[in-house]
Amino acid sequence: MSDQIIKHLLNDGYRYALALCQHHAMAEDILQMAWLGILKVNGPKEKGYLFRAIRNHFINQNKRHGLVPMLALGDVSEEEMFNDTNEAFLSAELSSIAMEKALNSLRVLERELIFLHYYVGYTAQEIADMLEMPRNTVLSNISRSCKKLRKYFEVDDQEVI
Amino acid sequence: MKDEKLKNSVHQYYESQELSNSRLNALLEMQELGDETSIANKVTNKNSEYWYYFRTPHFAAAAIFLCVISIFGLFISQGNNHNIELAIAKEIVLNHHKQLPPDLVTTNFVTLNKKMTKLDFSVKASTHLQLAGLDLYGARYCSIQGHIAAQLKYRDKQGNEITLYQTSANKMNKNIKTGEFNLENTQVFTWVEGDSFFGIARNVN
Repeated sequence: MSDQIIKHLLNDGYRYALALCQHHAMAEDILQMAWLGILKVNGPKEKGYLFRAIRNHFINQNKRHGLVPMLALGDVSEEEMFNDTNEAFLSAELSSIAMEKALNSLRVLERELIFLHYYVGYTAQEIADMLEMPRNTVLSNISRSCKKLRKYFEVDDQEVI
Repeated sequence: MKDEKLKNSVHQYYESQELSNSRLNALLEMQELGDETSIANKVTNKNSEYWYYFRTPHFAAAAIFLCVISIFGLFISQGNNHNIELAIAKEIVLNHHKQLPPDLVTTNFVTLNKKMTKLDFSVKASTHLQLAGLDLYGARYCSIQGHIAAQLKYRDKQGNEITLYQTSANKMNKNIKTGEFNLENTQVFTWVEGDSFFGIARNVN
């Protein structure tokens, strides 16, 4: 496997870790632990396997620190989610900082779904298989997350999927 | 196409996020190394790996120092034990050659224990193989390395004199394992049985 492919894989792994924890240094550490684990067991160097390893490390790390990142959806109102909406972001241009802030306002699972669907390009069924949850739940959560993002940027509500 | 815009923005945002070069290079090196030990040594997140502490120079120096001390101590201990064993064997040979008459003539251990009141231990009939076929006929007081001991007198079937020495196991002899010595035409066999130290001496023809 060429260095270029590995670099691409590692960067995708880093982005996934970032989608989960939204913290650059932590994302690098999680990726490194996952990568080390894969090398130790001589596991396959493929995206799905790396993502699973990253997810497991992320969950373990949060358990160790007493955090509960994977809260059930629906127990916080959207008003609460967007109470820090910045007027500056209401302009059409979605800067990197604005996007980061918007993604930060989502819950971990919502951010993860947005990443897997919009960035990686996984279908709802693929995500459902990976996260071991019903496809309909994935679809509704993606739809809900998009709605939140659109609301954040005051984009007109529109059906996404 | 606002959904497309949102999708593109998400894509652009994640596309712009990249691993730092130093971390990327470290991960690539880990991949190249392949073997587990080398991989472990390449981890840069030192605080997250417990084994990091085991490869610091201080730990290595301390470990080497402890190993050297342990090995040195082992040699000294073994040397001391050997010297003590030899000294005891020599003393047993000396006592054996004196062939002093028994203070008490008896074939009974109950009588021995009743009469030899100065001893700080009970005289036991050892079941050691070295005593097989020997007959007790008497005993006397003696000492081994300054500790009071019982010299039990035996004869074998041919009438040869054999002396058995018993003393309580103490700091000096409790760590002595079974030993065998041939000194001055005398064979000495030593062992520890329970809380007693035994030594037997017999002439070698």
